[in-house]
Amino acid sequence: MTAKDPASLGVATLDPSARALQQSEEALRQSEERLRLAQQAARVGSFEWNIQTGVNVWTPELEALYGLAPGQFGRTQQSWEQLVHPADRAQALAAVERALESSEPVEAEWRVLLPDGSVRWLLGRFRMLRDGAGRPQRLLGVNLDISERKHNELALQELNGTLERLVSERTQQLGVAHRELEEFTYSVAHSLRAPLRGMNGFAKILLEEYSSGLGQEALDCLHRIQGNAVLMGQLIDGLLALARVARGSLEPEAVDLSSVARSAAAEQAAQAPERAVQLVVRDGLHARIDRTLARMLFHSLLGNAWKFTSNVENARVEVGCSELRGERVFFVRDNGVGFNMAYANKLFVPFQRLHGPREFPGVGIGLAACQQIIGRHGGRMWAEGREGEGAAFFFTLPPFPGER
Amino acid sequence: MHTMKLILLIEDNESDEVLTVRALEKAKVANEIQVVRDGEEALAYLFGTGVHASRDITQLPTVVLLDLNLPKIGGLDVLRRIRADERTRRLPVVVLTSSGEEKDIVQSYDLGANAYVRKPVDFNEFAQAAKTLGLFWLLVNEAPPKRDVL
Repeated sequence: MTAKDPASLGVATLDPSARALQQSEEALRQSEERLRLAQQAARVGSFEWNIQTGVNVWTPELEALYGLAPGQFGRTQQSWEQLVHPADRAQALAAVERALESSEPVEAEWRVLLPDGSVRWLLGRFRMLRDGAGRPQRLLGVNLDISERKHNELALQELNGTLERLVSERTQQLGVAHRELEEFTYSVAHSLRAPLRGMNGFAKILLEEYSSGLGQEALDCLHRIQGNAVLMGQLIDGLLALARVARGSLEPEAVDLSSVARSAAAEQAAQAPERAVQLVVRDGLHARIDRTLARMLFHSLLGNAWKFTSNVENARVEVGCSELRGERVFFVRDNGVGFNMAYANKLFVPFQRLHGPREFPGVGIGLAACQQIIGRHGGRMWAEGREGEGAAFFFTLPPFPGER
Repeated sequence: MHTMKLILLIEDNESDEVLTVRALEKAKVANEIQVVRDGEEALAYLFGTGVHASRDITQLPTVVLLDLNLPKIGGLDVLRRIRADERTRRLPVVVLTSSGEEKDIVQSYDLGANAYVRKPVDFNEFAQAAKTLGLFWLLVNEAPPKRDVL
């Protein structure tokens, strides 16, 4: 018998030999064995419910899923119903109803209470077979043990619930902290400056009206009182500016940093028209950043660059960008007085200065605010310098969505 | 015609009061500076009630200098009441305060302040600001027409 000979094939099918029958029975037995093994391995059991006779036949694997010994199942639909967890019974029955009304496969999940008191989750998947007239004949289907998945799902749900609770608690706490900070800065803004104005003002009155009766030392003291009051006012203003950067709203947008840097530099140049500073700004520097804060950032960085190059011949300030280990790093570099790297970590601490106010004026708030600005956008900021050779301030900003 | 140039200074801080009055007097712009120490007294003065019941309230100040942080009734509430009353709703009010907080500035203008001036710590600057204020509001600015008050 070959495939090329259809006649011989027809004969063989119509007239099976005893040997062919034996082969076929063996194949069936093997197939059933494979199915049984597969069902065991997959923790699946199958059933066939004959609607006409009412007899529901289960495989031993299905009985095992319900905690029954082989042959122990009552073979009726009612005996199945009794095995389903009472809490899930209504919806399991509803699924069967749906299957009775259609020819589509139906799925449902329910629990069974095992004889040892434990609970097992099952997934039932079944489908109605109908005769030529559309009358329901047999409901065929399988049950799968989904306890593990269900257990994980429930654990995940619980975890999610806990997480959500935690997040909402933290959000509330943050809101309270935010409001308290707001009230605090508000009262600072209103109350702390008035006494300084008094100190300054009355010292000034003494100087104006009574200076003739005072010695040089007394006059000097009065000037110091005045100067300190003004300095304290500047420190308070610096603190308030820092707080504003920290708590203000953030509206990042695509910003042309090259042009922001150029206008900040133009401001500095206008304030010191007698100076010739060589400015190099790379074109096409873009980032997603809050525009107002970007202006503050460059105002501060270029202000510093101008300030700390004031004693340098051929002052040069460069604004650019480079790649560092696949990350875009912006920088503002100058060839000014520089700093000792041993103190680099102090640069960003509010009110910490590496130069006295007589050398270079300032209260020490600019870089702290810059770091806040970069930090709030999810970037990092650091500095490199060398005494007498210049300083460079580096910062990263997260790439645009879609970039890299 | 205004013959009296009166400034109403609403200020609770004594030092600030002394300094402001001194700066205004040095600028020689006002005939008289009336000082009240809190929001309640300010309203009593403007509307002729309480301790100021006997006052002729048709004599409105030429300009009001208003601090925001005031005892009893706060500066913003004083401003709200001034604007809500037919008799004072056009009265020039300059907020003169320590705070440069954006919130204060925005609220002041929203409630109808005519100007907002932040008091500097440096007395030289403060004196200059007071002088400029006085010159502008008492001499340069055209006051709202005087109206019959009931």
